[in-house]
Order: sequence, then C-alpha cells, then structure tokens
Amino acid sequence: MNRKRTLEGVWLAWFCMFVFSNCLSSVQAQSAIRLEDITQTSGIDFKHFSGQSGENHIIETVTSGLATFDYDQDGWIDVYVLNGSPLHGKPFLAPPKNRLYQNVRGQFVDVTEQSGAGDLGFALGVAVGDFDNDGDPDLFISNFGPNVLLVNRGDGTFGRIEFPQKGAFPRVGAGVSLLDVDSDGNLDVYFSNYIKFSFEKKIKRLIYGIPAAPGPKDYDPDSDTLYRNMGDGSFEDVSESSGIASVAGPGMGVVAFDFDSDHDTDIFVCNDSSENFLFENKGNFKFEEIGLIAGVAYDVTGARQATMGVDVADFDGDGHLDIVTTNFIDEIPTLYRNSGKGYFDDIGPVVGLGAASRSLTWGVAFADFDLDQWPDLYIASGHLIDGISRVKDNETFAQPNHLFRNINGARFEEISSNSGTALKAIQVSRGVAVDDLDNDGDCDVVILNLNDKPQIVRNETDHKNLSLQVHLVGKTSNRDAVGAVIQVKVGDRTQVQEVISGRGYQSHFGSRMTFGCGASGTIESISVRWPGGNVQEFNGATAGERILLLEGEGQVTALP
Amino acid sequence: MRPKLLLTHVDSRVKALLIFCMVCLLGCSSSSPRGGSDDKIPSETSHAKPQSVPQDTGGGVGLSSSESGLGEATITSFTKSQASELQERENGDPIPARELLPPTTSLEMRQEAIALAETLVQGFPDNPDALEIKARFLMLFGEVRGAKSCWMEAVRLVPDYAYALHGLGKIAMLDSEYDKAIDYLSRSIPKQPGVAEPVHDLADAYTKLGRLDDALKTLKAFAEANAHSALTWLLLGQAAQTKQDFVQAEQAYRKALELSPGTSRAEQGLATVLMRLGKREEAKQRLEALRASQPSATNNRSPDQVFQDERKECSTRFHSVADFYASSGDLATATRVARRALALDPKNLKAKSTLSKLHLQNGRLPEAIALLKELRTDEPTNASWPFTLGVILVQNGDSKAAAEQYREVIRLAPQNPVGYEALTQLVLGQGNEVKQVIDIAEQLVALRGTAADHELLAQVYAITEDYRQAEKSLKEAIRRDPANPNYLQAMKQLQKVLGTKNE
Repeated sequence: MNRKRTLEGVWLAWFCMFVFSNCLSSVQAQSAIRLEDITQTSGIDFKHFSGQSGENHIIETVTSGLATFDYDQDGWIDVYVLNGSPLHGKPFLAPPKNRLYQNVRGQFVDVTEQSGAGDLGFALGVAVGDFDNDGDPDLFISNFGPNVLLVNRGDGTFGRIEFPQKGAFPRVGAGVSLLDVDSDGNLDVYFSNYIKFSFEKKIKRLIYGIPAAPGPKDYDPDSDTLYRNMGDGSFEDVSESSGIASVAGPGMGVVAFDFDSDHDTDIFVCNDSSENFLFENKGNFKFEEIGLIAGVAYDVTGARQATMGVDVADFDGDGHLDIVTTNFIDEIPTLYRNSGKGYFDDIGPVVGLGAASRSLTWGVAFADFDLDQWPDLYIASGHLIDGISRVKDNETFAQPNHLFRNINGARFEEISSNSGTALKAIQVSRGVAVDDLDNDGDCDVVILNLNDKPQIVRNETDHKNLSLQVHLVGKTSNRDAVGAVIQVKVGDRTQVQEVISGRGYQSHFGSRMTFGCGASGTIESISVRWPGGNVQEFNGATAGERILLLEGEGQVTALP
Repeated sequence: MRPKLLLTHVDSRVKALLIFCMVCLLGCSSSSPRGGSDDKIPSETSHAKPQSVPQDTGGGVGLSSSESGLGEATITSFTKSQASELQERENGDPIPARELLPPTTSLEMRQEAIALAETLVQGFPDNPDALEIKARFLMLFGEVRGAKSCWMEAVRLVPDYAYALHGLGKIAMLDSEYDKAIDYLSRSIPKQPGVAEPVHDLADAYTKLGRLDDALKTLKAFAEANAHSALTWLLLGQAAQTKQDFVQAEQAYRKALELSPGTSRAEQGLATVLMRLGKREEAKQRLEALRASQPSATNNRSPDQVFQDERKECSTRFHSVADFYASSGDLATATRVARRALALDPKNLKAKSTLSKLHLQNGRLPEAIALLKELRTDEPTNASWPFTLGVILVQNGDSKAAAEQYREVIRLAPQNPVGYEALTQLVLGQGNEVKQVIDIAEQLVALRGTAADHELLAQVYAITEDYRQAEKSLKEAIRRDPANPNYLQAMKQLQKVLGTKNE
C-alpha cells in the first residue's frame, strides 16, 4: 500500500512538474532589450502638423524627418523636430514651426524661440553638418519650397540662408545628405527631390469611397540637387555637371557613404515606386548612376518598391556596409548585403525581416541596442490613409513600430512585443533618430509621429555590456569627419562604421558613434580612415568611455 | 441507304449544349478561373502577389489598383445583344435596364458585389463553393477577416477543400504567419495538381522563413513537371539567386526567358547573376537593353481608368457566381448575374460564353446566336464559336448558314476532326450536294479514322453511288467495330445493292 502511494505520488509530482514547466515556457520570455516610453516626462511637448489642408495633398502624407545632434556642444544630444506648415493659403494664427529642444542632462527644454531655429517652411528632411568648419553643427532643411540652411553661430542661435530654387514651381525636397564629394575639407550637400507637385494639378483618389491622397505615380518625378560647397560660405548648384540631374526619380530618404571602399563618398537614393539610385563617385565631381547594375534598384524579385527610408551598417560583420530600406505594406524591408565586389544582393526575405511586411514602414535605424557588438534594427511604421481600416480590415492607420535583434550577424529576430513599453504604442510614425540621449552609453530613440506628439524612448536594457562612443574631429578633412570610416576591434570582432550626415527617413542621427563592446570589453585597436584616404591608428581606448579622436593626433581623448 | 444522324433521340437543346461543351476543347483556354495559365510571365506591373493584394501597390502614398476616382456615370454603348435583350420580353416583362447598366462608382459596385455574395451564401449556407466565392469577393474589397471566416467555414465543411486552404494560406502570408501559411498551402497543393499559384505561394512562405532549400525544392519539382510554366522558372531563378546559387539561377532565368522572351524581371535577374558569375559584358548589355525598354514609372491612369480595371476584376467574380447558379439549376439567377458580369466588363468573354449557354438552355436561340456572333468577332481564331453557332443554326433550320460556320471551323482548326464531322453530317442530313463533302469525309477519316468515321464516309460514297468505295469504307468500320449490328446490317444492304449492280 505504501509503495503504491509512493508511486502515485511520484507520478503526480512528475505530472505537475511537466505541466508547470510547459506553462513557464509558454509565457513569453522577456527580451534582452528594453525600450521604455518616457515621452510624458521628457519635456518635449511638440505636436507635429502635416498641413492638414483637408484636400489630401500628397505632400501632407510624407512629412517629416527629425534630427538628433549636439547643437550647443555641451556633450548632450539635443532634438530638432521638423514640422509642416499651412498649405495653399490656409490661415493660421500661430503658424507651426520646426522646434529645437535642448537636452539638459536628460531633460529637454524648448529653445526654439531664443535659438531662431524655428523655421516656418513646410519641412520634410534634415541633415546636420559643420559646413563652414567653425566647430558648430549647422542644419540643412529640405522643404516644400526653398531649402534652408540654418547657420549655427555658436552662441545658441542660428542664422537663416535660403537656397535659391530654379524653375517655376516650388520643389518638394525630401532627404538631405552632407558629404565631402571631392575631399577638399568642405561639406557639400545633396537634396533629394520628390515629385513635380503643384496645387493646380488636382487629383482626387478614392479607395472604394474613402478619400485618399494621390500617389507618386500621379506626378512626374523630379531630379535631385547637388550643391558644391565653395568654402567661402557659398554653394554652387552642380546638379547638371555632376550627372546627378541626368536621372529623375521620386526621391525620399538618402544616405551618402563609401559603398565600394574606394575612399570617396557615394550616394544611395530611395525612390518611391521607382528604381532606387546609387550614384558612384567617379572623382572630379562626377557621378554615375549604377543602381541597376549594383543590384539596389529593385528588390530580389525585380520589383520596384515604395522605398522611403534607408540606413547603412555592417550588419553581418564582413567589413562592408550594407543597406536597409523601408517600403510599403506587403513589401519586406529590403536588406541589400554588400558583397564587397561592387554589388549588393537583396537578402531581406531570408534574414527574418518578413514580420515588418505587415506594416507600412518609414524611419529606420541600425543601432546596437544591447551592445553585443551586432547592430540591431528599429523600424517605424504608420499608414498613409486615415480610415484605411474601413476599406481593408487587416490594415490600420496607426501601426506598431518594430524592433529586430541581430542574431550574430546571420539573421534578425523580431522582439517588438516583449521589449518594453515603447513598442506597445500604436502610432502613425515617420522619422526615427537613434542617439544616446541620457549619456548612459547606449542608444535611445526619438520617433516623429504624424500630426501627433513624438515618442521619446529611453533604452533601459539591463545588460552588463559596455560601449565605446567615438566622436571624430577632422583637421584637414571636414571638421565633422563626415565620410570617415572607423574600425573598432573588440576581442576578435571588428566593427565598421562610417560617419554619416543624413540617414533614415529624411533624418539625421548618430554623429556620435556607439560601438557595443560586449561583456569583456577589451578594445584591441581603433583605425580611422579619414575622408581622402589617410589612415590613422589609435590606441588606449577603454570600453565604457566616450572618446574624441582628432585627425593627425594619435592620442585618444576621453570625454566627460 | 439513308444516313443516320447521331443523337436524334436526344432533345435538340440538350444536344446543342452537349456539343457546345464538348467542342469547347476546340479552342477555349484550358485555364481554370483560379489556376490560370501561366505560360507567360505577368507584365511588369503585375507581380505574382496574392490575389487580394492590389497589383502595383506603388506609391509611398498608397496608390493601389483598387483605388478609384469619383467615377463619372459613363455608359458605354450597348452591344447588339444587349440591345436585343432590352427589347426582349421575358415572361412578358422587359429586362430592366439596371441589369444592363454598370455601377457608376466603385462604392456602388462594392455594395452590389457584397450583396450578391451574401445572397449566394444565404441561399447555399453549407456549400463550400459558395463560401469560396464570397471569400474571393471579400478579399477583392479588402475585407480580409471576413474572407478568412468564409474559408474557415468552408474547411470546416470540407477539410481538404483546396481553394479555401489556399485562401487561408494567402491570409496567413499577409499576417506574416508563414508557418501557418506553409501548413495551409501544403495541404492545398495535392488537391490542385498542376496549379501553379499555391506552389508559388508556398515557396514564398518558405523563403520568408529563411527555408531556401525547401523553396528551391518546391519550385524545382513543379518546374520540372510543368516545364511550360515561365513564371515558375522565374521564381526558381529568384530563389536560387537569393541563396546565392548563381549557376542554378542563371539556368532558371534563361529557361524563363525562353518561354517568355523579354520579361523584364527575368532579364534583370539574369543580368544580376551574370554579374555575380563574372560575365559582366553580357550583364551590362542586358541591363542597358532592359533600361531602354522599361515603362515609365509615372502613372497617368485617370480615376475612370482605375475604375474600369476594378470593374474587370469584379466582373470575373460575378461570372463565377453565374456559373455557380447555373450548375445549381437556377438558370434565371444565373442569367441575371451573367448579364451583370457582362455589364461590368463587356469584354469578359467567359461571361459572354456563359450567357450564351444560358440562352441556349432557356431556348432563346436568337440571343444565343447574337452573343456567339459577338464572340466570333472577339476571338476570331477560336473555332469553338463558329462551331457552336453552326449547331444552333442547324436547330434554327438555317442549314446554309450552319454549313458556312462549319467550313470556318475547318479553316480555323484544320487538324481537328470535329468540324469535318459536323459538316459531313449536316450535308448528309440535307441529302443535297453530297459530292461536295467527299473530300471532307475523307479528311475526317485521315485525321481520326474511328469506326464511326469510316461508316460516315461509307454513307457519303453510297449516296454518291460509289458503292465499291462505300463497301471498302464499311469494311474498315466493321474491322474496327466487328460487333456493331448497324454496320453489319448496312453491309448486307450494300452487298445486295452491289449484287444487283453486277447483275
């Protein structure tokens, strides 16, 4: 009898353990990365305005980007958000404007009025760079209408310069990129242009009775603009002579980087519903468009995608910068893997990005959120059509954003649903910027939402990993070192990043570069290839530091 | 010896219908409404996407093929058949013009289509085909959840219902639930052998899960079994390219181009892999040619043109409803719905063909004739139309016109015995000028040569008093069908005649 009871007890205990362990495993494990929504306490009270004419103009649906950068050089990353403006004569008592928020030790303060950075244009894209090499980062803003340069005077204020527009109609600016085309130490500027839009061309679209904005294919595409920095405070339009204007596409996000490691800067342009462009820098201020032959014009199926945002990173650790782009619903974000041989292969379908295809994606950013030395991916989503769910019951206007964790450079795993409060928000997102806003060594996120408040996201990942944050200063190169390529070897892994101005969805971020160092954090070496090709080695950096590397000087300067 | 006509004991309308159905093999497409023929690769702007996804989704601002403008009330001119229908009286009442007028806005069209689908399912609540049709309507209009419910119900009724499983697989793809999609699609495919779309979707699901080897295996097996499928070869090329197996990709792309020359996606894919294989010159040449031939990315389709395209898609679905009602025996509703399908798209040949069949079944020969004449104009190389017209003209007593149609059949399909047989029988039935069809009957025998064909030829010889030849032919018939009592009887009679002649 006793033996029987014992046996019964054993079986019962085993059964309970079996059931319990299954229950445990069925509870979703918390991801390693935690992104928490701190918008309410951030101090940023901005609300975006898209124009809201009530006439469903195409340009209202594609606003806007944003920038994170240290405008006052106090070591804290500030936030600059773009805004639309009233369209076509609509009256407005207090016109909306772009806004600048100063980061005061992790809290943000609106300094728009005193800084003079509150431009009133219909802003679409932005990039940051020190065009006059005076040590202060300036703002380049693309507008519907004249593009604008806000010159940072270094005293907390900005002066305004307008780029003259050619042609009879106001252009629709989109992504902006700063690059030193000829490595002369002066940052040139590339503006992508969207479409030839005019209010007079009235196009009304309905989706089964629901009003919708027209699409890019309803308009002729516009060619892009390249300005050469003459070094004396002026810019020359070299769009025609450079070959940039020889092609036209509905340009959106743009990123300038050295895709072929030939020590000059090339330009990738997202074109909406048309073949993307890759302008190869041929030297002498000449570019050749090679997107088709380089394998980045279309996706692997040969389809033109609604390419909107773009970012670059060496996601697989092979030393070459790869390209990720965001697209429309039912289009997987495209991941063009750089072969290192002058062409790319679209591997988006096989690396696990398929989950994002149920969203309409815009802003995109590579960032090593958990500092495990592999760049993860943040993607912002939001539909175009308010009321879409009345027509397609599996689509919504507001959509959740996506976080993909990079698994050892081989594939991505979506961890959005269990990575903190921020990703539970359902919003109509556009631009994304990733930067260390609280100076704790890891990357936080700012998301611009259409006609709504932005979302400020703090990275509160509980990890033991360290980072190395690097700020480069050029001397013979442009002061921001835009175009410099850094290799950081931590343990047996080498990470590569390039200093880029203008990326994501018509946004700017990452002037201060963050390298995850994992747990061990031994930095074996740092190598910088400055714009123009000079290579410099640096030693003595330690994980957990923020450092300054000055061109021509071998020492590493730790920053507070 | 009097010739015997076939099927004389069968009701003439049924006979006409049977022959109509039989000879649709003459020239009609063999494609099913769903599987379709994918011998050619769809055009540049028509990607191989799930049916529910608007083609050419395009713009960052959501311009899809399902969008419409305000849609002016444009009434296209009536076809002759429509005009005659307007005048026709059915049960004493004229056909309401609203049955012949298309909807004026896409919203109106959507409402009518959904109502039609609802009525169908209400009338046939446990019928998986009805549910499938409703699901397709709902998917067309973006009601994905509703479509899912219909397909789930269909599968509950018939667990291996292929179309519903395929539909559920498509929805799972839209929801990025690729494991689920694989399950549904894998179950659907064995029930639809030779149908490419679910195979392509399955490969797509494997690819999105990173299971490239499975995708390649799936596509390769189908491509080898269905070598004519250009789209399969194209997708195989893309899968191999994604896997970086550029050699296999090159082979597949070349095969796709062989079957569907000039297809831009195949050209682009081939050029891409040629670059990877170091064949740069050929790659560049192909890309330059491709770029030169690329259509403009600008879409200047007016809202009305967009609406016209929506109507065409909707018309296809209306037609499937008409088919359903027809096969259920509700000819009145089938006729009404077929009319609506035609109103939505006057160029929907399947709807026109179905409506003409329905007119036949309803005994409305003039209307059937009018539609068939239109079909002849729409598809001048399709021999089934003149054939069916011929059959109906015979019923209508117009043998001369019928003979002209049969001659047209022979001209269009000289290798098909049906036209020869029909003409021979017609002339034999008239009993006049039988000599004209001697060569026709001889060609029939040469093409097919069945016992019945030889017997028919024997009749022709007999009537033209060439009894030796008649005997020869009849012997051939008997040799092929020795137990046929009619042939034996006919031989006895013929031999009597020959005996008398000899005397």
